[in-house]
Amino acid sequence: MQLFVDVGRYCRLIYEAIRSSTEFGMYWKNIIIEMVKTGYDSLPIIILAGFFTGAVMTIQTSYQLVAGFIPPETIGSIVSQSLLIELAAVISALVLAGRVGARIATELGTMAVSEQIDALESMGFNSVTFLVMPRVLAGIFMFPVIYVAAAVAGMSGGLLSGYMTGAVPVADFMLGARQVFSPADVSFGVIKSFVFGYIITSISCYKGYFATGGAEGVGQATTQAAVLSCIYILVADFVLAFLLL
Amino acid sequence: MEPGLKKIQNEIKIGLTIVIALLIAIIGFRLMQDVPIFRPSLQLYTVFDRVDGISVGTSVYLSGVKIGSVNRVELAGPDSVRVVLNLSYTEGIPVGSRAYIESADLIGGKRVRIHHSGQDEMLPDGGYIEGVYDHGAFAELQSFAEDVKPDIQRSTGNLADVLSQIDEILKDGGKEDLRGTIATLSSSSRQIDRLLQERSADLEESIISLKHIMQNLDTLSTGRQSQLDDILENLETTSQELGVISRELGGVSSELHVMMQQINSGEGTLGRLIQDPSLYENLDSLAVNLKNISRKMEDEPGHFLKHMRLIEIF
Amino acid sequence: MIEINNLTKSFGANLVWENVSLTIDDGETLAVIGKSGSGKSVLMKHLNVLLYPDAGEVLIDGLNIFEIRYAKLRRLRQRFGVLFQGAALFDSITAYENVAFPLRFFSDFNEDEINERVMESLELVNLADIGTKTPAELSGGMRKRVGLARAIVMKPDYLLYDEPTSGLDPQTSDEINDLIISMADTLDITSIVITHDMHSVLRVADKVAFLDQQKLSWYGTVDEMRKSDHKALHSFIIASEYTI
Repeated sequence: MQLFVDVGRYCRLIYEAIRSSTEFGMYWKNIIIEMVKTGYDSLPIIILAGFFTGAVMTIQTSYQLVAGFIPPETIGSIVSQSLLIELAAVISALVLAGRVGARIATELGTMAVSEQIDALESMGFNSVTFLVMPRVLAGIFMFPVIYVAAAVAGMSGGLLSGYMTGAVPVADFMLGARQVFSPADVSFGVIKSFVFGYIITSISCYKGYFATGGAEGVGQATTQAAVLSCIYILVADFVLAFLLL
Repeated sequence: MEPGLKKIQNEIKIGLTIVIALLIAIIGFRLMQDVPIFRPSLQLYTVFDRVDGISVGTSVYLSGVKIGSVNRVELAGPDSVRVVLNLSYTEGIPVGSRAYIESADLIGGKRVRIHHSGQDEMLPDGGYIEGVYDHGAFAELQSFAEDVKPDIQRSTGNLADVLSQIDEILKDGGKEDLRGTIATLSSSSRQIDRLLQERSADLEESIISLKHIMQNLDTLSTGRQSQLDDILENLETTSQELGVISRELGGVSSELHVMMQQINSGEGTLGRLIQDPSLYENLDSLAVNLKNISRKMEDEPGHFLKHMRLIEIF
Repeated sequence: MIEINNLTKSFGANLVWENVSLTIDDGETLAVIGKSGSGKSVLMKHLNVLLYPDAGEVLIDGLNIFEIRYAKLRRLRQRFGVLFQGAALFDSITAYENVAFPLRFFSDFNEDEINERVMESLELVNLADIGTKTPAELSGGMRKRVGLARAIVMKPDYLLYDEPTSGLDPQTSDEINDLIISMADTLDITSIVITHDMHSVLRVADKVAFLDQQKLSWYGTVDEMRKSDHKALHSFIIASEYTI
């Protein structure tokens, strides 16, 4: 029963955000601020996460492919394709489900329980347009940027760890990566990042916007936002793989 | 901080982030597709009848040096494939050069090799270069290997059988027997040697007689053409008989195989067979008989040659 | 003029109140009193349509506010200034920016005009010098006053106070009460004060509405309240430890 209530209220929230998006110009500043918070401020952790994902993948793949007749460029192929199709998008999304999702849910949850959303409404703002739409749009716009950062950082991490440990020479890594590189993989990754950006921000907005019960309620909303975002990212990842591959 | 300034800073942050991300994405794209990032490259196209193993990103070599990669592969017709090559070779590719698809390694990797024609005129950007699908030494080796594979498999199987049989022989105390056999054989050969030395004078005489006979034959052949023809006819029959004999020999060799198996299964060993004193006696008597035959031949060659109907010539 | 006719509201199965009818004349100050959970704040949220009723209507100058469309409703809401219980200041911006906030979005004023308006409002609540502080750096009373400054900065026709003196020491409460009176006088504003602080009611109110037993239990002027022998009202006043 609660599920239907949730789905209904969620859809209503998103509908409201889309319906009132004609006032886009009015809330342009909010979008910019949210883009900074979601995209720009997340870049360090994303570059770090991507870099180490690539580095670890290269070392572990070379450890797993011990047979002598497998050429070293195979490792480059495996690492680069995994990064572009799957890991750059999913790892960064999972990291940001915690970082961005929790932040959004806390912000909106605090505003909800301290009547700041009511205050906005009573001043004549459309609180959904003002609070939800910029956050969701920022997620959709900035996640591809985050994907690019994670992918490039991952490739650099892979190259560097292959070079430093002697597992894969740089030239072999690049040769392997180029052999399997296809623009379709990148567009698949970008589509994923769009979807993940939408999932994280919209779920977190929903959880925060409808938070009740004081500080404890905000804490609950935050936890639920992060956990639900992670779950729906994995589900969406599966569905997208099923639909697009 | 001034509120206005902060807003401007945010916009700059976002603008820079997006622009840099786009730039990195474009550079990364070109890097991955092996397009030189800043330098404009030479683009050539070629047509192959087939391009197995060639895909976007496959390396292009000139004299063993990588000078570019495949940029695009598209089907131009049922039996022709258009391949676009991106080259970063500034010297240019001369007119009349050819692009070969050849094997790059043992596991089936392919690459494009450009053969330099040496002409002075260079191909323009976007020009056409003739494409040849080269099966290559490795490919031929591979197809040959495919053909002989069953034979090799069978042979190795047989070899294994033989080896295991030998192994069996050696195991069942056969080692001792073999040593004895070899010792006996060597003493036999010594005796034969001695025998031959003793009778060398006789043999020499025999050979001289034979030479004499040959000379006679030579003189005869001119006069007795028709008879020679008959002889040749006879020889032909003989050779047919020889064919029968060789088939019988084949039977013998198979019997030998059976014998080997029998040896293996312990129905009398080779060693015991050879160690048997009667063998030596037989060999000895064989030598004596040989001696007798040669003496007889010396004494009355007609007796032997009669059987070959050569007697009529004399 | 606000007319409330037969308003009924319930959350799910829980009836808040039913058949509430009152009239609030322009320029007067109405105090809505009642125990915690009697639905005072819920009634207030109907006035600027943050909530919709199950039945009944609210007419503002003859216009049924539950029937107008959202775009028009937002303009209507701007005729109400609201002082929320916890002041509901935006945490991330300074007190000055909080007051300037509605002006930045809903007025064509330039920076100087905005500054003039904000300072005027802050002076009305005696806080002209706290502009650069963030809400977290302010005391409870100061937060309420900043909230009040923000509520009046758009020059509304109606001011809604949700528990304006709760959580404040008596002296600060008196300052707030004085502000409510001065707002009504200087700005010629109609005020609705939600409270259970009888001291505050007696200081600021012209009329009193008593919500009890899921209905409007008693309604009249302050003078009538003093003379009333309404039992529940009487015990509510007594419980407030305040003698009339």
